[in-house]
Amino acid sequence: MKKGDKVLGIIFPNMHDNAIGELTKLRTMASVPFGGRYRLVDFTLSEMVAAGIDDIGLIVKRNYMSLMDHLGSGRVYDLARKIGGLKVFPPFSEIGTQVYTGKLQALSNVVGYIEKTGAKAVILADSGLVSAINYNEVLDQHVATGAQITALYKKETIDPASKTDNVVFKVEEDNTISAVYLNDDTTEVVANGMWAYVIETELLLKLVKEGVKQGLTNFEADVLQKIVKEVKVCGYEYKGELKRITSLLTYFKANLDMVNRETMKGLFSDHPVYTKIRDDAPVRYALGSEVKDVVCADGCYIEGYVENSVLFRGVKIGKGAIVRNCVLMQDTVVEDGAVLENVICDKDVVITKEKKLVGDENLPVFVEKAAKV
Amino acid sequence: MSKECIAMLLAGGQGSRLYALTQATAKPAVYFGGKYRIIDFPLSNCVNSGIDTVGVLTQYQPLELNEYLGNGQPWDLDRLYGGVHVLPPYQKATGSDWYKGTANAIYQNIKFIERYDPEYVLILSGDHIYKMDYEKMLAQHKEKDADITIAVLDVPMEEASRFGIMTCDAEGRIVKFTEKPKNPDSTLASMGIYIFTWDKLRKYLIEDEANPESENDFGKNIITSMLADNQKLYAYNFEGYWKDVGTIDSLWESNMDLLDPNVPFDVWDNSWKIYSRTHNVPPQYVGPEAVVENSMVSEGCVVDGCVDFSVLFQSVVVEEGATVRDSIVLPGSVIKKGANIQYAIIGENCVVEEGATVGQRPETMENMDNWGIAVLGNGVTVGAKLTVPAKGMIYEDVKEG
Repeated sequence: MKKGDKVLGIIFPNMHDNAIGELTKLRTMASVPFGGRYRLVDFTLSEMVAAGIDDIGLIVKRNYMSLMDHLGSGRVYDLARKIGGLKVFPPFSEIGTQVYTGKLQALSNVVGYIEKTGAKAVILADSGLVSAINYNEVLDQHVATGAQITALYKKETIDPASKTDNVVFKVEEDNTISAVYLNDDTTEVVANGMWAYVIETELLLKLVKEGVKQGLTNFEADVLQKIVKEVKVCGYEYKGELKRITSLLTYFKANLDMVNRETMKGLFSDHPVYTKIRDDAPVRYALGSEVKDVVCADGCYIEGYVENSVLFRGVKIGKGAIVRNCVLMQDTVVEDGAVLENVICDKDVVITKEKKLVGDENLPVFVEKAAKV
Repeated sequence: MSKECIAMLLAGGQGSRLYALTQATAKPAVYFGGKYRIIDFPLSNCVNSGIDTVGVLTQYQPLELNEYLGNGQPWDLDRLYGGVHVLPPYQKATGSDWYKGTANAIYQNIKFIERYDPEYVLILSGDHIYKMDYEKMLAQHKEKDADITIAVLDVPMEEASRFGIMTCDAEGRIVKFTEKPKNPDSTLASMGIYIFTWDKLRKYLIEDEANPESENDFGKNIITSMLADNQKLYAYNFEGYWKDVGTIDSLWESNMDLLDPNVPFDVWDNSWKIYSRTHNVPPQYVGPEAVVENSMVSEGCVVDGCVDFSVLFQSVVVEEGATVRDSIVLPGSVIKKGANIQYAIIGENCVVEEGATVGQRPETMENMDNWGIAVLGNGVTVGAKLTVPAKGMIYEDVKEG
């Protein structure tokens, strides 16, 4: 591609669903709530929108009702367009064939869409990361290096939870990637892949069409690993804030890290992050409320004590209740006198009066959606 | 296709008694309650009452209001037929006129109203904070077969002389209307909310326009002439919270009412949501040393100081050691370390530098005549360690004592 050419974004909302089964039982990885008022997909969509990408497709596989509800028409992302905009592709399966298993197969169902957009390059992004990627910079580098594929990575050690779900690159001094390793168990600092690529459309379509003929399904294992020897694949080192949601524990810690100012700055200063609007009133702190180190979204009503926690929209904390190191999702109600420590509550949970739930900081208690404890 | 009832919202008022807060903006666009603007209340009431067509009549400083309303989407008023329409005065082949009065503003938009061929027209103003189901009022209007129904509020006798007062018979029919009576004989005050049967209103608007003596005002002219002609005027009794936020004091009080559990006004009630245009900002953060009590705090705020009995709009920063008490801080303002805000309204994007003081507590005053809410206009900076006294009205940066 040349600078200024049209770029298409494609997001895979169901990739890595298995990493966090508790939260993806009823939703996609992309619609996992994060940081008080967001879903993971908000970060990816906002990154793309900030780079002027206004044609974005999401290829979903299962459990995508909550995602569809969250995205709506795409208006909040400025993606409700006549030309381009947001498109969701439900699974396409003919009698006798199965719902796709890998990205390559998933892409083969939308070849027509990709061709029709006239995009010269495509950004492919999985779900499960919270980041603030500046895709303008990535695309500039992609154009400058003349690469066929640019793969994003961060220099870091591999989180043990993603031991069986990682992609690591061998990046040469001239920024080219000479090898791709899957499910590496090294403890060294490596170029840890971010499941995000810029790829020339022509190459992508060729790989998809040929790959499917050969029965290949997986982009990283079946294609990328081999093709680094044939075409120019470059790395883009992302140096910004990055949270990988690889397990319930990393999810818990990533959320609680939002009370860290540097994390907030890292995620929200490059570009705005858009999300669904709910028209909640501002947070109400009642007489006698005490709040320390808390990230809190609109619609909350706090009468008790809250410390080092993340409260999503519409959470209610009763009188005399104590909440410490907790992640409480939308509309959780903690009744008077209840005590919660190291707890994750999914949406619409009710913790009844005087109830005590205590988890460990390395083993948080998880309360299922709409449960009454 | 016709609409049964459409609303016309008078939003041209200058709100001159809000001084620094309405220098560059119309009163209906004034901020209220942590994330709203005054106009969100009547607009949300319309949508929640099933009225999907609203003409907004603007005149004074309309830029900010126009931009805020946009296509009406935040209130669900982006409709194929109907929705929200901004109606400024316009030039005609025979000349051009500003809106001379409330009635004239509607008169000049008769064509707009007739496009929807309504049976009833609801007249609203953009000055009041309240939640009201107009559908119930319309039901009463139809039931009584009225020509006009005026929403009234029972006010304390000692305040009655500040309002337009209705005297009614046992059936609720209005027999007398007096604007700001010296010796009121009733305590039913007009809330400035009228439902007219359109045919009647149309006739009276045309007659009123033809009368050169008229001030073209709803209260003074239209209602008075309808009463004189023995038309069917009925009062609709409204019970609930209603406040005219036309002055600095009433604006401040009304914001504080949101913090008072004894005042029956609740913006947290999901069955009657107040909609507003919101901006994408991160959630709020309350730091380890912060003390936040009995306050309303909106998204994007970062609080490290002390906030008590106050309303913070979005993206306000209260630094460590700073205190905000009994005050309202509008979007984007920064209260720096050790600054002290008491009984004040801080405009949008203001900076109160380290150690500065804005406003005073009434109990510290020697002479209560000098006491009042201190106000900073939009974008004002108050220099380090400087003081803005009680009742201060600041339009420009304060650089020295």
